[in-house]
Amino acid sequence: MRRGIRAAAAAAVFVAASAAGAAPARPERVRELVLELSVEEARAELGAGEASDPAVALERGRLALYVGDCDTAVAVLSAPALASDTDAASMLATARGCAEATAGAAVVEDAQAGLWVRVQDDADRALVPLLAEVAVRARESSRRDLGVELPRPLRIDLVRDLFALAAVSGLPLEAAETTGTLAVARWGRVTMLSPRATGRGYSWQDTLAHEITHLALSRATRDAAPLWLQEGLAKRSESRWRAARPFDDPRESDRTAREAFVSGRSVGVTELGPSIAMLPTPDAATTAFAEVTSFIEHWIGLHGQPAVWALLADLRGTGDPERSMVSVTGYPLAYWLARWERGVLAAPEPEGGGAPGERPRAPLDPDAVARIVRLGQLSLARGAAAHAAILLDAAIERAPREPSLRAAAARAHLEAGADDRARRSLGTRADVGGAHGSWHALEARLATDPAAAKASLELALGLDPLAEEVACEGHWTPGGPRATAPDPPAAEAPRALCLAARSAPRR
Amino acid sequence: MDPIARRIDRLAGAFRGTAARGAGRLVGVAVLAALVVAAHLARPGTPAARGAAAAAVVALIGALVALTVRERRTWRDARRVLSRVLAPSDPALGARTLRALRLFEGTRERGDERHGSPELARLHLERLLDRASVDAITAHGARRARRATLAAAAVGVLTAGALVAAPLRTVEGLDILLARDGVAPVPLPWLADVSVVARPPAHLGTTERAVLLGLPARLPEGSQLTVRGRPRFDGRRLELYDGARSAPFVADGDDGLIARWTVDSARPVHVAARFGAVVIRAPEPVEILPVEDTPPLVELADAPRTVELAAQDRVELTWRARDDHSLREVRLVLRSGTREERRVLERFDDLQPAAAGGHAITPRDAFLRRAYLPIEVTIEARDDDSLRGPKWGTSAPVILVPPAVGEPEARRHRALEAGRDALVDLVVALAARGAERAAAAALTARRAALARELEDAALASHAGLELPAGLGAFLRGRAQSLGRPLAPGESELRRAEDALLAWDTALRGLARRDATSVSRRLADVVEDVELAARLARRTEDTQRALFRLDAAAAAARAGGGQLATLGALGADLGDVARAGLERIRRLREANDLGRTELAARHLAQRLRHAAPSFRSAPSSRGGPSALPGDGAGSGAPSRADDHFDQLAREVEELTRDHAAAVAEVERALGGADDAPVPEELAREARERALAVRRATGRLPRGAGPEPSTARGAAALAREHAEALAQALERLSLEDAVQAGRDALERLTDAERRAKASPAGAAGVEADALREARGRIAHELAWAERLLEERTRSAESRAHDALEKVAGTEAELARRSGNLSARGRSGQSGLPDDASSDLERAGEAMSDAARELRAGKGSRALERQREAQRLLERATTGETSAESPGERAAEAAARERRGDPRRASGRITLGGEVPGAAAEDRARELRRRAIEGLGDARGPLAPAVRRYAEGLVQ
Repeated sequence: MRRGIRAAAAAAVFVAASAAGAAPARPERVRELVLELSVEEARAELGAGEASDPAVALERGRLALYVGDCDTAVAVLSAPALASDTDAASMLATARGCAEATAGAAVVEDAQAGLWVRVQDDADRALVPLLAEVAVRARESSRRDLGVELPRPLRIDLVRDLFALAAVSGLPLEAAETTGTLAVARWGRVTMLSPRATGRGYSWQDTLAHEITHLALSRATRDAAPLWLQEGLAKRSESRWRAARPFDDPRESDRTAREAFVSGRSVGVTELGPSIAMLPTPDAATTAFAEVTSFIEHWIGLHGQPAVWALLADLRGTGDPERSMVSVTGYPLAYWLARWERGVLAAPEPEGGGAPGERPRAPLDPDAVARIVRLGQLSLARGAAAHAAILLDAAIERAPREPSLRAAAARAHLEAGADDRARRSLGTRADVGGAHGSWHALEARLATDPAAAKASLELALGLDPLAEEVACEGHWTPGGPRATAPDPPAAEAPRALCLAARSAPRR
Repeated sequence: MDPIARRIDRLAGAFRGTAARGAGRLVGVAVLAALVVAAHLARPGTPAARGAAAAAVVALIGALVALTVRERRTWRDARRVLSRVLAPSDPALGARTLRALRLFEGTRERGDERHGSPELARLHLERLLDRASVDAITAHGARRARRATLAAAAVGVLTAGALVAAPLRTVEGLDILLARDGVAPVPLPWLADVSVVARPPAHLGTTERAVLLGLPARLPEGSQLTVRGRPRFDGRRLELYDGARSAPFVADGDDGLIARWTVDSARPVHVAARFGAVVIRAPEPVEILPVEDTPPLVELADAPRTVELAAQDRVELTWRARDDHSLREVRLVLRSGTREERRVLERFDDLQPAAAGGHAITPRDAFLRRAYLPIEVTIEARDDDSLRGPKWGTSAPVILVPPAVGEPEARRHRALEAGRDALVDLVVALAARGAERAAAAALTARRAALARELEDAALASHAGLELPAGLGAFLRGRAQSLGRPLAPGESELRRAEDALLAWDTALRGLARRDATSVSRRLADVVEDVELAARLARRTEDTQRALFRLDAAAAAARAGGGQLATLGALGADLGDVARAGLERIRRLREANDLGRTELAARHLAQRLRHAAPSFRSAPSSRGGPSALPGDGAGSGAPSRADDHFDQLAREVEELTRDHAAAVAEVERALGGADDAPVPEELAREARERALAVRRATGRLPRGAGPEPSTARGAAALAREHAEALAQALERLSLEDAVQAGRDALERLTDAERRAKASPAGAAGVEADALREARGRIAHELAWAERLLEERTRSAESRAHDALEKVAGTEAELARRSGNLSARGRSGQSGLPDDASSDLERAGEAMSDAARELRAGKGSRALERQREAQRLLERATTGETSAESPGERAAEAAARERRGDPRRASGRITLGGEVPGAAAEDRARELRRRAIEGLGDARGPLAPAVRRYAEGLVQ
C-alpha cells in the first residue's frame, strides 16, 4: 500500500516536472531526494534540469553513484566545470574506484525481493538467494521498528575483499584494514564483504541487517542522523530482523560499556569521529559500538519505540540532533548520556564463568594448544583422521569451550568413522563459548531431529556459508591423498552453494 | 642544246672557272673560323655558353645552305647569269644583251611580235652573245677570285692565329660543345706521371697498395684512393669524377696535384677537367670492384631450439662469431614481448676477426623472472665498420619458454609440502607403532632416511629457485636434528613432531612471503593487460595490442593458478586473481576495452597490495573484527624459527664485533704507516716501479677474452705487474707483495701454457717472460723484506694496543664457542657445517688472542682473518630474510614501476624520421670523422678509434 502511494507520488512529481517543461531543476531538492534514496523522484527532478549547471551536474553525479552507475558518475563528475568543487572531487575519486572495482561485475536483480545485487566475484552468485532472504526480512524490520519504507530495489555491492570495499565505498583502505570493516552503507548502497574474504566467514546476516538499517536511517532523516544514533540503532537492529539465536547476548554491550568506563577506555558516544570504521583500533571500534548500543537501548527503554520515530521525523525536518532531542524528550543529549552512564556504572558487576554468550577464554598455554591443534590439523589433512582425533580431543581438554576445536575433532572422528565419538567431541551448545559455522554444520549433521538439523544449518549458513561442511550440508571432502568429494546436494540453490564453496577450497 | 643557252653556259663557265676557286676558299675558311669561334663560345661549359655556340654553328650551316641554293638558282637563270657575268665585264654589251634577252623571251614566250619575229630576236641575241668576250669575262672572274682569296686568306690567318695560339682550347670547346649528360665525348689526358694509391679503412688494419689505371682493382668499401699527377695543361680545374660525385685536385706542394677519393661504389673513377657543367675525362679510369663489409656471422650452438625454462637450472649458450674484418663487440640479447635487454659479453679493442665463448643464464635472472612470454635469446656481434655504422650479425635464437609467474615458487612449495607430508606420515607411524623392537628399528631407519631426504630438499633448486640462505640453513638444521641419534630418555615421536612443526612453520612463512612476491609480479602482468587494453583503444595497431592483451591475460591466468597453491595467502590472492581475470575475460569477449582496462587496473593494484582479502589490527576482544578463529588462539605451534633467528642474529652480531676487533688490530699495526716515509726510500720505490714497468713492457697488453691462453695469462701478469708498480710507488707494501705474487703466478701459468699450446702464445716471447719474472721476483723480495721490517716495528710499537685487543678476542672466542654449542643442540640449532665453522672460528680466535698477548700482531691478524672468514661463512641470515634473487626481482619490479614510460602509460608519437639527405650528411660526418681520427697510431690508437666510433654512432 505504502509502496503504491510512493510510486504514485513519484509519478506525480515526474508529471509535474514534465509539465513544467523548461522549469530549472533545483539542485538542493535533488540532493534531498537522493539522500533519502528517492532516486526515481530525483531522476524526474533532474530531467528538467540544465545540463550545464555545475550544481545540477554535481547532483547528477551523486545520483549516478547512489544507483551504482559508477561509469556515469565518473563521466559526469569529470566535467571541467566541477574541477574546483571539493565535493565533486571526493565523489569522483570514489566513482573511479567503484568503476574499476566493479567493471565487468555481474548484476543479479530479484524484482520480487526488490533487490539489486552486484557481485564482484561471479562465484558469489550462489549467495544471492541467501542475501535476498535476509534483505527482505531486514527491510520489514526497518519498516516495523523505524517506520521507514526502504526503496526498491535495495542495492547491495558484494565485494571480494577489503581493497574493493574501500574502492567502491570510498572508505580509506588503511582504516578499513585497521578496524576490520566488513560492510559499509554509503552512497545509498550496502557495500559488503563476501564471506569468502575472511577465510572462516563472519556473521554476514546480522551485518547486512545492520547496514540496511543505516540506509533506512539515511532515508528517514535525509542523512541527518548523528553517528551515535546511526550506529546505535543499526547495532540494535542487527538481530531484530530474526528470532533470537543461541549465543545472542543482549547485555554484552552494557558489560563492555561498563568495562570501558571502569578501565578508562571509553570512546564516548559523541566522540566517534567521521565513522566507527575510522577509529584507530579494533578495540576502540568495539567499545564504541558497545557504548552507542547500550545508550540507545537505555534511551529506548526510557522513552519507548515511538520516541525513535519522533526523533527521526524531527531530524528530517531540523537536521539538528540537539534540537530534535530537546524537542522530543525535553532534555538535551548530555542529560540522557549522563543518566545512561550512571545507570551503566550502577549495574552489578558481571560474573565470570561459562555463561552462554561468553567469549572463549584464552587457553592456559597458547603454544601448547597451538602445537596440538596444528599437529591435529596436519594429520587430518593427510588423511590420518584417527590420529588427528586423538590430538584434537587432547586440545579440547585444554580449551573446552572453543567451538572450532570441537568441530575439528568431530570432523576427525567422523572421517575415522566414529560417529559417537564425534558427537561427544562436538558437545552441545552449552559446552561451547560461541557460535561457529562448522560447529553448527556438524551439529546439523549429527542431529537426529530434522527440524533441529535445519535450524542448526541455518545458523551455520548465517556464519560461514562458504565453508564446505556448511555449504554442503554437513559433508566435506576428507583429507588425504586419495580423498574424493561427496556428491553435492540435489536441490539447485544448495547445490550451487556447495559447488561455490568447493571452487575455492580453504587452506 | 639551245644555241643561246650554250652561249650563256660558255660565258658562265668562263666566269665560274676562275671565280669559283676563290669563293670556295673563302667559304672553307669562313666555316673553319666559325667553328673556332663556336668552340671558344662553348668552352666555359655553362649552359648559356654552350647554347650560344650551338646557335652560331647552326647559323653558319643555315647561311651555307642559303648561299648554295641562291647560287644554284643564279646559274640556272640566264638573266642573272648575264647580270653577274657579262654586265660587270662589259656593262654596255651587258645591257644590250639583257634587253635582247628580254626581247627574245617576249617574242618566244608571249608571242609579242611588235618588235620583230622570234627568229629575228634570237638572231639578235645570238649576235650580241657572240660579241661577248670570253676573255673579259674570265678576267672578271679572275678578279673576283682574287678578292675572295684575299678575304679567305685574311680570315684564314686570323683563324690559324687563334688555333696556333691555343689549339687545345678549340678542341676542348668542341668537345664541350658535343658533350652529352655533362660528359664530353672525347677524353683528354690531363695528368702526366699519374700514381694511384689505395688505403683500406683504418679499422681493417691493412696496408696501402698501388692501383693501376685502366685495370680493375678489388678494394674494401671505404678505402681511400689517393691520386697524384703532374698537370699537363695549366688553368684546368681537375677533379676525380665517377659520374655522380667528384673530389677536386689540389696542389701537393711539389708542382703536382693530389686528390682523395673514398670508395663506395663500383663506378669507375676518372681524372677529369671541369668546365662549368661539363667534364672532360681522361682516357683511363681507376676501375674499382668494391668489396662489401658483411655483417658478422654468429653461431649459437644447438640453435634454433626451444627450452622449457622450468625444467632447467641453467641454460648454457655456446657461441662463435666471426667477421670479414674484425669484431668489436658481442652481446647477449633477450627479448620477450615488447621488452628487450642487451648485455655485453665481450668487447674487443684489437683486431679480432673471430671469437668464441660461453654464457649461462639461470631462471633466477631478473629479466627471466619478469618475463611471462617466450623469451628469444640470441647472440649478436657487431663489426667495426665505422664508415657505414656498425653492422650486427645475429645468431639463430634459443627460445626460452618461461614458467608461469610463480611456478618456481609453487614447485618449491610442493616439494617442501611433500617433505611435510612425509614428516606427518612419520609422526603418525611413530604414534601408532607397537612395542616390537623390529618395528621400532624400522621407524628409526625411516627417520634417518627422511632426514637425509629433507636435507636434500632444503638444498634443492626448483626451476632455478633455491631457498633463501637463512631458511635453507634452518631447514637443514631441522633435518640434521631429526636424523641424529636419540638422547637417553628422549621421545622419538616428540623429535619427529618438533621437526614437523618447525618444517610446517617455515613452510607457511615461506609461502606467505612467496605469495606476496608472486602477487606483486603477477600485478606487473595484469598491468600489461591494462596497458594493452589502453593501447588497443588509442592506437592504430589494435590487433597487435589485442594480441598482447590476450597473451598477458593468459599468462596472468596461469600465474594466478600458481599463486593459489602458495599457502593460505596464496589461495586467497589466487582466488582474487581468478575472480578479477574472469571479469577481464568477459569484458574482453564483449570487446569492451575501456572497462577491460578499468578491471585490469583494479586487479593490478589489488595484487600489488598483496595483503589478505580481510584483515584487521590485533584485537584483544570481540567486535566487528573478531572473526572465528581456528582454535589455536595466539599460540604458535613451533618457536623453532624464532630461536633459530635469535641464534642467527647472535652469529651476525658476533661477526660484526669480530670484524671490529680485526679492524682494531689492523689499525694498531698500521700505526707504523703514519710515520713519514724517507724521501730516499720513496725515490727507490719509484725507481723499482719503473724497473718493473720496463721489464714487463714486452708482455702483451689487455687480458682479452681468452685468459686461458698463454697470451691471456701473460697479459694478466702484466696487469698484476702494473699493480705491483703502483703499490710500490705508494709504498703500499702489502698490496705490492700480493700483486707481485699474483704476477709471478700468472707468468708461471703463461710459460706453462705457451709450452702446452704454442698456437695460443702468439705475440708472447719467451725471453720477455723470463725478463719480467726476474725483475718481479727481485722487487717482490725487496717489498717482502721491507714489509717484514715494518711489521716488526709496528708490532713493537703496538704492543700495548694488541694486548688490549687480546682480551676482546678471547671474549669473542668464548661467545663463538657458546654459539657453536647452542647451534649443535636442540630443535632450533644451526646446520652442522655452520656450527663447525663457529667452533673453528672460536679456536682461531683463541689462537689470535694468544698471539696478541705475545705481541705477534701479524700472526694474530692472520688467525683473526681466518676466524672472520669462518664466521662469515657461518652467518646464515634469518629465516625470513630474502634471497638475493628475490631482492633482485623486487628491485627489478620497482625499477619497472618507476619507469617513466610505463608510469605514464603513453607512447609519444610524432617523432621526426630522418630523410635521405640527413642520412647522407650523417654518412659524410662518419667519413670525415674516420678519415680524421681513424689514422691514429701508437699505444692510444684503440682508444682514439673507439672514440671515433662512438662519435660516428
